[in-house]
Amino acid sequence: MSGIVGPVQLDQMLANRRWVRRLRPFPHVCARDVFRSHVYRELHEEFRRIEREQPEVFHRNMEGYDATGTSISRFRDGPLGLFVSREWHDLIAGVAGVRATGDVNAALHHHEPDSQSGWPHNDLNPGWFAGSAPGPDEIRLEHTGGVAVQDGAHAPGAPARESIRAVSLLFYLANPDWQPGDGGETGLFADVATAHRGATTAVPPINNSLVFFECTPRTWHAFISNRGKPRNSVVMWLHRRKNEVLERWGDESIEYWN
Amino acid sequence: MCLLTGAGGTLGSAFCQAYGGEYDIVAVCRHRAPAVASQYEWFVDPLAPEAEVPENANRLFVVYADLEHDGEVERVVEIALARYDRVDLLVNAAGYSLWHSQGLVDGDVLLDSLARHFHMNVEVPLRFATRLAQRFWLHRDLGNRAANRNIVNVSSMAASRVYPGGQGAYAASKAALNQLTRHLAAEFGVFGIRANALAPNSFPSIVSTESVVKAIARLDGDTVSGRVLALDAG
Repeated sequence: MSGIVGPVQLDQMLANRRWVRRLRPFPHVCARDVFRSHVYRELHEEFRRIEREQPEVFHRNMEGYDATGTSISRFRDGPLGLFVSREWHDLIAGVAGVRATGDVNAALHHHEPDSQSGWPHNDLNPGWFAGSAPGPDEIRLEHTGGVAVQDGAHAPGAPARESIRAVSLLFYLANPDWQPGDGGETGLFADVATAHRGATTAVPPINNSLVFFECTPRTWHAFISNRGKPRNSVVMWLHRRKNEVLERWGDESIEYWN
Repeated sequence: MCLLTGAGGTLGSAFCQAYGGEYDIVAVCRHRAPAVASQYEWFVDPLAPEAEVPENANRLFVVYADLEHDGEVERVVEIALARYDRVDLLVNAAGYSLWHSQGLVDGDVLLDSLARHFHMNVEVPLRFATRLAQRFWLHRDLGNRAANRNIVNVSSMAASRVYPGGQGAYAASKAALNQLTRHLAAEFGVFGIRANALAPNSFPSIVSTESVVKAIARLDGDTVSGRVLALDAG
């Protein structure tokens, strides 16, 4: 199994150089066949290995979200470390057009078959990270330095810094072949008022594909119930300085954790 | 410049991919848009997000419209003319089909579908042709002939053959479209607009979608009018 032992050579890893930027129902980017097959295979097998050998690391602790999850930080020395590399961070931030801080929250999510649909939310949430802002070549992961990512709780004397989610990304992997009608898509909604009629756009969980978007007060999205098949994904967030959010949308736009 | 209905379907999407570089296309879609660059979506190179991407050079102009609703055809025509000041080729590729394997007398399924078949497969194509004539083509006979302006109605082999599978309502509507096309050719020829129908067998199962797309382009470049061009395997 190869891990991240040096600079990540994304130009050697990407299979598809034509990602699709879409404006509706809100700006987002989609791509299929993201990584070359050998790269994807390693990611797929690593997810399967974790499921098989360390099922206890998946916890159900996300309120209103019918899934189990585990942080990628504990697996960063393996293939999944790609997602918490500075190179990947900068590539995603560059395509999204966001000035990101280097703070990353990344997890593996698993939805059992027939998981309940989520509710539309915008992901404009805070994330707390340890220490001063990362340097240009650094990544700061959640729950390091004794800082709780959601509420910033930390040991006395341990500096904690609040950032706001800037980009949400889902990469689908280790799923059974997806067919229309299977569900498990990521629903994107034009508004909340008509969300009960269904998603405006539904991004299917096809292996080796991704969707991401800049988090704004109107980036309504939700998990759509999966019928009969599990759904697995990498879910990650890049972050931006809180001041930027305050200037653009105001403090009331931030969805503070309860 | 091409006004294409049914652009999100198999045929429409293939036409946009094949001829996006040759036509300015107004792509009329109900829900799904073709996988071609448009004003709503385009390609980006993740390793050079600011760089020009060749596939973005010829963007479709997508108009979302539910053509079953009153006023939508007129809205689309207004938008197309406002965007490009002309329509050289109208491709009526949007359609409706409901097959009921138990046939015409099995309950009311096909009976109830008849109005929808005729609305989508006959009235909507006629309405597009008529509105374009009234709002642009009617007083431009010389310009129409110079630009070889024309209509291609996408019909079906089912219009002239009896296939199993409960296609009666669908087939009748496509037969009506064929005859309507002949009338369009007769009436619109006066002001220089040709009209033809293309009647392929099932695509992509029996004839390739590519061959249907090419046949549309061939009819556009031709001089014939009033024809119903069958397209079958072999």
